[in-house]
Amino acid sequence: MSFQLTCPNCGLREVGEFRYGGEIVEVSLGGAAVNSNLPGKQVERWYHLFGCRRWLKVERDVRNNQVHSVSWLEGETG
Amino acid sequence: MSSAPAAAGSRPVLRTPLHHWHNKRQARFTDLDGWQVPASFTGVDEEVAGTRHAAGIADLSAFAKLSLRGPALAGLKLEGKAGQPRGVSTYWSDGPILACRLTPDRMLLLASTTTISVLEKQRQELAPSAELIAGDETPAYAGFGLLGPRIEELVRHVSPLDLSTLAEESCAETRLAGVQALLIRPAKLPVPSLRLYVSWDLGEYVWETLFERSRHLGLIPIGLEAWKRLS
Repeated sequence: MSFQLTCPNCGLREVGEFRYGGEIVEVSLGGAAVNSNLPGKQVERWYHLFGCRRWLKVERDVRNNQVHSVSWLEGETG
Repeated sequence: MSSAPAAAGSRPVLRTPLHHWHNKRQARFTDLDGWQVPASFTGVDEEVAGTRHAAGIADLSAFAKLSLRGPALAGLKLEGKAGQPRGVSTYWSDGPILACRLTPDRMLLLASTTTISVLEKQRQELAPSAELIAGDETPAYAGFGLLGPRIEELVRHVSPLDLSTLAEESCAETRLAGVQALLIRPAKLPVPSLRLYVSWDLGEYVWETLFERSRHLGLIPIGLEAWKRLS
């Protein structure tokens, strides 16, 4: 797995600088997760471990590792 | 049972994480406010010439470091590059002081002396009324000064960060030799230069890794006297 993420603070960095923090899933009224672990775009948490040490929200296509958007995770400030 | 009385006026001897490494290479030490720092290894002229030809590295761990944190920092209007994300400004007070903006609410002030008071004074000048959390980070980070025309090549062997993308008067936190490191490009000096900071307890590991992976580049250790002459 090799791709790059553009940290809003640190700029473009290789993915090895980050730690995966899991998919952010929507939860239905019944409590079951939807859109989880499916091929396609998903929204994930990533932590910039070797950089600014902040949490990011990343939209990534898991089929080809194309990154569509990166922003601060809620609670982190820019 | 009796204990020896403490010597009047005695003070602790402070050592950098590289002290044993320097000692083993017969460095000539000098005392800076109680800190034992290497003044020279093989001779100042030789170290200066070796650095100008390839690359030299100086142990700057003893120099004072002050961190500033808090949301109020984001609202401050600072002159120079430190006002921007990842920017570095140089101020002058008993030698150059580097102000590194790591994130909007986190800044690191780095002195070129061992006295923390120069940084506290600078903090007062920068943000006299702002509510900031200030902390002495001197014993938290080992600091190295890299100088010479081959330092970009050297960093390429230990970090995925492309140093050519790191502009003068800017800094970056990144992975170096597998650990988190802060790289700082100060304002233009007569020879290319870089400051490198890692966790204090990883200082010896990173220092040795730099030498190990750059044997072919001619990296040499330099003392403070050569470092001062070059920078």
